[in-house]
Amino acid sequence: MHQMKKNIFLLVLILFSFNSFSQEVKGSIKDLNGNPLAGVAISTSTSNFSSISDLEGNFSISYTPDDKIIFTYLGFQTLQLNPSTSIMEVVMSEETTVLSNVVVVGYGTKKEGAITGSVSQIKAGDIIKTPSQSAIQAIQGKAAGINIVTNDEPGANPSIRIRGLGTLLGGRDPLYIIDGIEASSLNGLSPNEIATLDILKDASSLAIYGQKGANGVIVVTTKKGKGNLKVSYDAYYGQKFIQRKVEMADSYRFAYYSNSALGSTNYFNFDQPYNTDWLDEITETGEVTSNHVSLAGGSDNSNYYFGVTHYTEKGILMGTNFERSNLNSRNDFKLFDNKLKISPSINITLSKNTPKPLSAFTNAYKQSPIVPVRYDNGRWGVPLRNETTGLIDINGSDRFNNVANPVAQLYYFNEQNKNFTLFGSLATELLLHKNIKFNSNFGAEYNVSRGFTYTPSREIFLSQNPTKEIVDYPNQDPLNILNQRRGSSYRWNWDNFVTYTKDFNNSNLTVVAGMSRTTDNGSESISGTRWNVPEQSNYWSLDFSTYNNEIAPGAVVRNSNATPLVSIAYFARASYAINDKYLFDATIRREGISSFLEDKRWGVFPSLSTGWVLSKEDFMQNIKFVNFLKLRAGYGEVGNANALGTNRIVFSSGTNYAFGADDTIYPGSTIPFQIDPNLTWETMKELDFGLDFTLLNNKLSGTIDYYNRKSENVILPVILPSVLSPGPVNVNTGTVSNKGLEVSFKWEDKINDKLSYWVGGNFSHNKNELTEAKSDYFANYIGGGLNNGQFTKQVIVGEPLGSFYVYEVTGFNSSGEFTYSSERKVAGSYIPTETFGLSFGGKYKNFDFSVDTYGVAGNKIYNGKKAQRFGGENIESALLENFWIPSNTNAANPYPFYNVPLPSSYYVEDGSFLRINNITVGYTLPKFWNKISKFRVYATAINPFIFTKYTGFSPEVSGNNNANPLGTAGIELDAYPTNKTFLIGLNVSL
Amino acid sequence: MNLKYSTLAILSILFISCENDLNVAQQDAQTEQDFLNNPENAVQLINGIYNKQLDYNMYSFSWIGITSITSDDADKGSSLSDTGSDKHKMDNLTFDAGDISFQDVWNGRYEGIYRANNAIYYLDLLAIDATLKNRLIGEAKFLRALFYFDLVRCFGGVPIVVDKIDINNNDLINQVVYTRKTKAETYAQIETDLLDAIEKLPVKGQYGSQDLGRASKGAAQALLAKAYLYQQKWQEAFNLSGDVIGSSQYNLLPNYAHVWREVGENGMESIYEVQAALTNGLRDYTNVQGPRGTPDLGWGFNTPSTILESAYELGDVRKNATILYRNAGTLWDGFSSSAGWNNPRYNYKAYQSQLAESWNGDKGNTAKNLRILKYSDILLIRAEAAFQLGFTPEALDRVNEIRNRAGLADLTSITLQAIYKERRLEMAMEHDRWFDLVRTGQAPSAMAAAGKTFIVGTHELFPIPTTEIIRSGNRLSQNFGY
Repeated sequence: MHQMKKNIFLLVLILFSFNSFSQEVKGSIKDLNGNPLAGVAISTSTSNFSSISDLEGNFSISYTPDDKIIFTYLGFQTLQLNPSTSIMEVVMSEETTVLSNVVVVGYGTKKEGAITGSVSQIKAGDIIKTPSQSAIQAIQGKAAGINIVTNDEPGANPSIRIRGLGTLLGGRDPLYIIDGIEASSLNGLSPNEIATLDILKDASSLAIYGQKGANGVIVVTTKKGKGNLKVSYDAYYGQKFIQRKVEMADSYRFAYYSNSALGSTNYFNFDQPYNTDWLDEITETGEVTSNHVSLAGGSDNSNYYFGVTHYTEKGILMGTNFERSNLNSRNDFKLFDNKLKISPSINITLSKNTPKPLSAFTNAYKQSPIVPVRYDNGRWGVPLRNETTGLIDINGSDRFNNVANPVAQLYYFNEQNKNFTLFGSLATELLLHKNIKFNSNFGAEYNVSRGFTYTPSREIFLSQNPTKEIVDYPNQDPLNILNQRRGSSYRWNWDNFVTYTKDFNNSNLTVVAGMSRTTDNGSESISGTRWNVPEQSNYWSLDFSTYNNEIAPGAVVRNSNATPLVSIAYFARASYAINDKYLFDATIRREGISSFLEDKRWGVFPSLSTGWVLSKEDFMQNIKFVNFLKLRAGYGEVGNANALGTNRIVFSSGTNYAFGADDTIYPGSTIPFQIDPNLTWETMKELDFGLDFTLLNNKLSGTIDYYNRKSENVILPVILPSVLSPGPVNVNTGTVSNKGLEVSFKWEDKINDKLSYWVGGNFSHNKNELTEAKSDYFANYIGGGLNNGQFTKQVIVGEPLGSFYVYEVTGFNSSGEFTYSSERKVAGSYIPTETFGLSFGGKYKNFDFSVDTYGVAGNKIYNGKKAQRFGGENIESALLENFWIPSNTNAANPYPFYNVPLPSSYYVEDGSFLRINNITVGYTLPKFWNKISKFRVYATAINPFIFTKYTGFSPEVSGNNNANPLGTAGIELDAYPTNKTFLIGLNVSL
Repeated sequence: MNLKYSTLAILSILFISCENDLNVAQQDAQTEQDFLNNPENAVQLINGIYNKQLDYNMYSFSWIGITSITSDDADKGSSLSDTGSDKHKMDNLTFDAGDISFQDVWNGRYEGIYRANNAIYYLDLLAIDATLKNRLIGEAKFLRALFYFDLVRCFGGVPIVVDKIDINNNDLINQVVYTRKTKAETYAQIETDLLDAIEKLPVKGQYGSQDLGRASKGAAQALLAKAYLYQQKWQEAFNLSGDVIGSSQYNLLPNYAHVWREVGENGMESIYEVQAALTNGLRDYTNVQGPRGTPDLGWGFNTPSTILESAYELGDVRKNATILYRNAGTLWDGFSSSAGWNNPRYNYKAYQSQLAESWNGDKGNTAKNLRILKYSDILLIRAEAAFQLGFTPEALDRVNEIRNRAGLADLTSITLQAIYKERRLEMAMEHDRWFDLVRTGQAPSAMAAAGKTFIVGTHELFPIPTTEIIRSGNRLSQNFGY
């Protein structure tokens, strides 16, 4: 640290020592409509002068005789002009083609035309068009090779998978870079504040980010303030509904099915007094509101952006609420003749979440319709049957299933979590020499959370035992239990790099070299549990608890702390372009991560890519319909160690045991799992060939990519025989190959001043295959367990990773039970082979509209909740539509049964779907007051329609445990319905 | 000039970071090195093995299913509609290798063996007092033998793993972990461990009161006597059970009903039991067997059968200490037996009183100790071995000792059937009945009497779990008929 201070001091000294020998030019900048453009960046081509236009678009800049003056402004075509001795009148036009866009690449930017890797860019217009809590949600279906699994739980994030789902170990989320600073999510950012999103997909683009980029990188550039103060206000309100329901049996069907399964005629009476639709009882119309205000502006030397967003959501599950406020402040300051640029930002997020257990959905699926929500006397319904009459009966003695009353469950579940996240960053850029700049970017995130769970034990007892009264509740049992918790987590990252650029006669060279250091501390928490606190939460802090029994250490107060993960990396890039026609790019990164044992820590990850801009060749100049054509080829290697804990043998405490007459508890310890000392980097090696084109007067643009991706030493947690390791062990398991084709295109046309339209589409085909199982444990690995002894997946070389491996139903036996193939068979994979999106939209006069669709094909889903039964639960109505009876032996469904079924092809369903993601119609009011520059109102339907053959709630099933391909990925175990949302909103700019 | 300095300055910033930063101090658990630096941790390793016995996959639903619901002493119970996933198949003897109960019982024991093997391995690396080390090794070996004893009774010969194994040593793993040894070899391993434990462990009375509940010499002898009994090594069983009886550490409690209540925990009849405490309870033992309905005391599985009920002689106090009847007035602790319960009978030995015993409000984690080895078991082992060796007076005396406590008159002569019957009633619902039926060859007739089909040549052993066979790359062989 001491050393560093000295260095910074040196740097500051240097700043004052540049010589200058120059002339000055003045001028003004306007757009095509004659409006002055403020905040245009002006620089010189060979010397290192720069400037910015003022509020009236005026500028002045020094130059040397060799210089050309360069004008850059986001969303406008960059101009390069010779300085004139008179006042320059500069007119800048908006970009008609995306090719001159600036695209962010690892530790730098490039013009899109000069990109040699596979990068998709999504612009602000596409993002805010879809009002959504997270920008990620809004890009679904808009870029090829990107798969987004929505999550409708209030406050939850959708998960995003870039190119080739299901290949890598946990933590499959991509890396986010916001204005050059690493972040763990986009949560702190309102979708309104995003200018562009660049999605880096292929290994040659990712290699320079090392392991953090293993799952792709999403680079976010935020909107910058410029010119006069600009105020905008965006708001929407919407209602949410269940998109698809699964029809459950009614009381009669329930009785019919159960009696048949039990071989009885009157176990359940067919004429039950109640007929409860549990899903209806636990859901209500959800509501979302969002308000966003921003202030932005800037001058020559600084600009500012300040935004506030307030978002509230009431979920469709009764009682769920989520509220979030964001405060964002970003500035750019330019000092010392623009040689030093400092960009601080602060982002504060406050959120409050009142969750309810999602298991209520599963309980609603399973609880019998004959059970009432409440009996007539007001007591909660329980599954008690009168053994004589077969009717539901509060005094009945047969508890015919073990499913909770989901309404009572929600009623008594009282939890609240509050979160405070502070994200701050400081990016500095220092121009050392006209060819050399130095960047130092520091970002840190700190999160504190507090929450409680209050369990009214006595009320719950009474709800489960409807004939019991308060006096029956055991004296010594707690009236209630209160758990309170506080936690925190932090993460910081510091990148330092030097960029050298040099223009030669007809070529240019850029070299970047630097290092990156990250510490990520997952969580630290402390929690306390008390019994018999006052019912009123405002008195919880008082010491009224009546429970003072001695409790073992750890039972009352618990503290836990994750081990931080540290990574250090050195990286370099060299880019060389000849005549903007022949492009070369090479990167290398050497990275060490604390996850692995000392001799397995470091990995080196190179990449090489090249591009050929055919449209600049002479022989292409006569082909008029081609505006731009580029061929790309790239190869890269990316290391992955994401989401791994530290690979060390640990002794975990807590396996305690009581000895002595007084049951004193003595500490015990065990090694919960073994480690593989050879565990090392998973490496993704990818070859990518691409074609970028713009045709027909820039009306049609598109990209085609072929990729061949091989993930070697794929790290997966593998279950070993218990005697070797009770807990799963992370092992380098084998090689997974993903080969695919991605095509995307966009057609834009302006028919006249009143009418313009666009159509965009993307399609990707991916073939996933496990090509080698390196570890014996993995070769014999079984997964996809349903928690009832049955498993649905097995590792088979030559098949997609995580393929279903189940018995094939061959027919029925004489009692209407399925008969099966003698061996298990591969029954498809949950990984789609095709994903596609089609969007179109247009403008007519002041109206705008757009439609986005998204779909996948070639994937299978295991309808696990249907297969996972203990008996006495409700069934889907359709099971009684067409089932086996002696006179109908070709039925679709077996005769009613209460057994745990074998995992079979019966439960494997086609998971293909096509969904209309978004339909938006907007109207921009004609100018009615000169203080308001834009006033637009719109109506949007999100996910209004889905077309699928899948019979469950949602064909988008990510599975738990970070979507481990051999876990429950692709198995619908919980009955969680996806939502459709209808919104109205407005955008106002002053 | 300036450029040079500034470049140097920046380069030095770039490479300031120190690669030692990658050696992060572990915060979520103790490292191997730190653990081994403290010799007091030796005891913790052993406590960790004992702790395994509290887990769900040790003595809970699955164990209850395969040892008791299968037998003629108990029915599945619960509601007709609640299968408990595979418990109806246990009851009807229609189970197969895919059933979760077998996976649980297999994994539970092998996880215990894993902990014992690790403990023995690390004990060697810790510098502790030799006497203490001996005792701790004795405890670990007793527990390991206990786990293997369950395995051999359920599955026959199983893979014998008694060392810490390098998970990357494929050859060794194929040989040891994925190869079943014979039943005789498995018993031989149990005997080896127990003989060593007998050498190393103190008798029950030598333990300080704070160590009450640890495996003692008597426990190792009792388990070995039982292992001999299962192998029909009558003389050895006779001698070992004699050693336990002669140690004067144990006796019968005067009241049979107290054996399974809190008052009887670690009492004079207790030889070895799983120690459960209020905040460190036994997982779902009471819960699985507690009365189902209103009030809701449990899931209501493993209910005593009418065949068991009718096996008791008139006046046998054990009947009402074993069977909890529905709607039958007040229970021993003052709780009222409810008419709102599903089943006419429940296992009284699994009953946990909320009124008169330590109770934490959580029926899934109770303070009830699970009795594994008790003095009455030893008396009956002694009786059976004595009978087989022709020492009928000894057999008669031991059986009468048991009968007297049960409030029954002395027998005047003894038969093997009488010993079996006494064993059944004395140990009813204590997870031995199925194994006793198989061991003594009574299973086919007893099952037929209970209306079930016992397939001779198959049902003597349970199936090896399918998952384990696949995991072994089909190296583990399946038992005949599955």
